[in-house]
Amino acid sequence: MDKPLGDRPSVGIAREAEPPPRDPAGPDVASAARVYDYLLGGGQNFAVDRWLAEQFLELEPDTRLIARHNRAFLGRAVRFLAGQGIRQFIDLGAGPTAGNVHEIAQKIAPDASVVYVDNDPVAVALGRRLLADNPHTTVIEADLRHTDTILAHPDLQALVGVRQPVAVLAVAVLHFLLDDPHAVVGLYRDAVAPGSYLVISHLTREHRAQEMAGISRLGTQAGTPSTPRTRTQIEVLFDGWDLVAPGLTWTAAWRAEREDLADIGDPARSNLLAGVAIKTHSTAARTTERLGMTEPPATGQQEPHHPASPPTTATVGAAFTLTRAG
Amino acid sequence: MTDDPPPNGGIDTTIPNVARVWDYQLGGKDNFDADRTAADALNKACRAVGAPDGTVVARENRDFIRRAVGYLAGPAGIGQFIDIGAGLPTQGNVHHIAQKINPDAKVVYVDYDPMVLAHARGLLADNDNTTVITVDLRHRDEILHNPGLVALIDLTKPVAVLLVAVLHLLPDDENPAGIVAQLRDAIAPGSYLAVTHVTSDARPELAAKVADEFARLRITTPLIPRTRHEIGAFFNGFDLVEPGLVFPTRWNPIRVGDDPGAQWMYAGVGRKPTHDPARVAESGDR
Repeated sequence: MDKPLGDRPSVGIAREAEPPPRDPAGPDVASAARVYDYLLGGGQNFAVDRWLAEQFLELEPDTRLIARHNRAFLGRAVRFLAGQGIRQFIDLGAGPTAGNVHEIAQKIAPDASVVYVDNDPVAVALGRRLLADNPHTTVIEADLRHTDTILAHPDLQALVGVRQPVAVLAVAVLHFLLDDPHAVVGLYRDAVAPGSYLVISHLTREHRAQEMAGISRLGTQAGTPSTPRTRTQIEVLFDGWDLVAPGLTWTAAWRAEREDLADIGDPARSNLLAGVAIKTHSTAARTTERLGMTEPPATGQQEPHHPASPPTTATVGAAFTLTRAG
Repeated sequence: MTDDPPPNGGIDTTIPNVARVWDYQLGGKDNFDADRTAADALNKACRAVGAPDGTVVARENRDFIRRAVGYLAGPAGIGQFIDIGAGLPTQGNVHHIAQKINPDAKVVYVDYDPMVLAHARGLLADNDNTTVITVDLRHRDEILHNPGLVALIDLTKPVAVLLVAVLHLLPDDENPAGIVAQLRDAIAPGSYLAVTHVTSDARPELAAKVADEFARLRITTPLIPRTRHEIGAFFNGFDLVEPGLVFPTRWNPIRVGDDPGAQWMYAGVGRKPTHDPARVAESGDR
């Protein structure tokens, strides 16, 4: 695929897709990924998704802006990573608008491999159709919490070598993990090679907390529960990684040029906090120490373990006393 | 569209018209002096005793329509809407709400007011999935057999019938319950009924006074506030969806909170069951 399709690559193609038949046993349930697709102007969404999205828009008129800036952040992050030499990407919870990451990455590095992971069969089926012609991409149907299954998947292993640096993208997805996103992210951290990157954007309650809580509530009522988290709760997700500059910021502000902020004014309106972090040899060493492994760290890069960074297990536990909503 | 408006559009601007009074309450422009004077008098009667006035009622009703139609077009999976007593477009355009969620949704507006027809024709000129028919609700046979309606709506499939802020314009001797029951029997199982209705429950004395004002001001229809029990009876043969028959602000609100609102109306959405126990028993005998 050599033609860049812009910010919303799958719109034209996705409109051809037939909606799945309604489940006669009960009402269809909205999918967060398809709501996101609708907010971005995509065509792969159904009545229940549009209904939920319209409720979000009524509650928070910036919802579309929030989705757009998350998408733009993803673009800047992938370009940054490709520029850093990353050639392997694992996009967790890619959704039906799958396609953006490989287009951005392959524009810079045509041989870049992208593995899309989603647990929604509709999104997976569409993604596979969209990507059928691209030998450097694949779509795996899996729950992102099942790290072992994903990393051992033959389709992934055909494209990605986890002994080489890889970028793990968890963009606007961890807020759907109500229980323990920290543990899930930790599994990826422990599995990937030093030099790998982690990309996160996450719904917060740092700005317009009432509206964000309302969006979570409406989503939960509609069968797609999520939870906004505080800055501290999101920061600890990078435990064992080193955030690259500018650290954890609003999606709109992350390495943004002036034109990226043209439609938003205050970056806080983008309402997701985002960061990109690297697993350095020293962070890897800290991890292997904890795991009791013997792999020697690279000479000269070892840092003493600082008690404040990464946070202790107790801090993490205290930060995640969330209960399952709905 | 079968009926052309009579000469002069059949519009008498000297008598307050209930659709135009409502339009004024919503801040619309399709109203005349007589309508505005009547609305102001009604609102004054409410404000004199510190009660929320018609502007609040109209807004709450419009917001309920938005949420109810969104629910019907979304999770309820309804693709056909019959909005009876639709009023002037400012009341909340059902087709805009429904077609945003389901672009193929069909919407038929039904009103007996020629001014509604004139406005709706302009509004709907380029929308093949939406039409307006001029029929009096009291001639219910004519509604469901109307060629304009039949051309758009498949009555063998579920529909949503909206009787929003209209049943309280029908006195008991015009048999509103019978009208609703007949519509219920004619629509397919799995269909829905959405109702808002002015209530006397919260302020019996003021409700009676406002109803008297309707008569004194010679508004085109009377106002018949009813109790929650009486309004609930319109849902005979329907299963009310959550949260039941409530003040409009409490019907699946978007925002958190428990705002009772003006307490001038009850709102509900009911579903005609797909399994009629009597019919199941009957068929079992065969």
